[in-house]
Amino acid sequence: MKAVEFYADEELIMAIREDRHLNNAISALYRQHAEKLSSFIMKYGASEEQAKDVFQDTVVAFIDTVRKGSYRPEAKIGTFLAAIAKNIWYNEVRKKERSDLRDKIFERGRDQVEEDASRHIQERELKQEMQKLLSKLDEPCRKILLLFYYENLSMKEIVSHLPYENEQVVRNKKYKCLQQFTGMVKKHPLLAGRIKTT
Amino acid sequence: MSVPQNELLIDYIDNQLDENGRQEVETLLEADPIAAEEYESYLFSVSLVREAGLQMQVADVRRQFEAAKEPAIVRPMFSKVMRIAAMVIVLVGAAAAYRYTTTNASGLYNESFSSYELNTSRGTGTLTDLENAYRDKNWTAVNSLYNSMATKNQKAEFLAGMASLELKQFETAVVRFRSVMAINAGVKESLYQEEAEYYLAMALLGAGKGAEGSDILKNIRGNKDHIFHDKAQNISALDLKVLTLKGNKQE
Repeated sequence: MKAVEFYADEELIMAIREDRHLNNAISALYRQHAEKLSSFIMKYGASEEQAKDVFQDTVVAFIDTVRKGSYRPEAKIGTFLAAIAKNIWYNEVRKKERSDLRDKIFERGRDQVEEDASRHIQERELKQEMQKLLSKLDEPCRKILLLFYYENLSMKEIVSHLPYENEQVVRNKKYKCLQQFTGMVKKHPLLAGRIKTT
Repeated sequence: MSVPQNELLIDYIDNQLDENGRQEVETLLEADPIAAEEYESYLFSVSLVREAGLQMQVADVRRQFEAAKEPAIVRPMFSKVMRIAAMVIVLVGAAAAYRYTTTNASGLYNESFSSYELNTSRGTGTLTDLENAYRDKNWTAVNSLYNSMATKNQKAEFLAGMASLELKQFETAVVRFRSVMAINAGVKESLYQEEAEYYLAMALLGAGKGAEGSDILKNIRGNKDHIFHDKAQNISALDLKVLTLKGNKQE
């Protein structure tokens, strides 16, 4: 993927789907859509800072949507991002019970793209709790879990990044870290209820 | 639930089991609701880690995007201030002219460069030899070991870049620091990125490419989260401006 240039929708979608050069893809989303989308959300009563936060959450939700294969290529990325951003801001406003703004956001009802977009949005509160919980783990645990489960690095690669003797030591540490994190999740009032019961 | 069984469930999620192991776990999940519940909990935790990782990555890009876009501060000017400014402008102009003629990239490099200390011991084989040679400040050995490596990761490129910098082989150092960034651009986990950025700026200054080095240092100064932010802040903003004005003149 190119480093700093304009990206067509298909190129962005491919980069996200293939999980290659994701940083470049996110940068391109910012360069090509952040300003327009932030202005758009500010029209619905968001401050500049709130609009930036909404756009950040929009990018996360968009990548999640593409990765899960739920993005419909017939919708332009700009249109889809606008629909996600609108939903995120709507949820924020609803939480604050600003009914004047809430009515304005979807005054003409939701169209198909907006319905699709709304399915992949996690509440900001939930996201913040997720981050908080992860930050309660000690640094080595957090790093091992992120390197293994998010960066998809092998044990061998992790050994070369962290001060551990060998792969088995990292593997044992990872078991403990995931068990510790799961124990914290189970005790969390907001997150525990989201564990699927069989 | 016993610890080995927990580990078996985690290995199953991580796709680390052979066919027999997978079947063993699948039978267990069907027969034992407690094990099945534990499995769902681990699966959910893994999904949270992945979600949090994505959030962090997007937040990082946002920080970089906003730092690069920071607008210049525009201050209103008043006539009284203008008059005072006019009085001192000759003095400032003379100082600036002096600064302009005396500031150069290699001079700034000599003032600002400090060695990179490698503190931790990681990895095995050639990379450890490379680290040992680096710790011993045996720069030529670092370069030889680097050249003998079949594949070079970010750390190898960075340490070899630093060795070249110590030997004042600035152009080579530039190539190696850029290699760190090129590798990082193709992988999700950036390593030695900020170190490479700062020392690339140093190498460019050493090579007489003041404008390029100065641009990188300005970016680092604009990013409070950058690990070399404080070091870059210690370099005079005026000197950096002078280098930008002078362009990439070889000195």
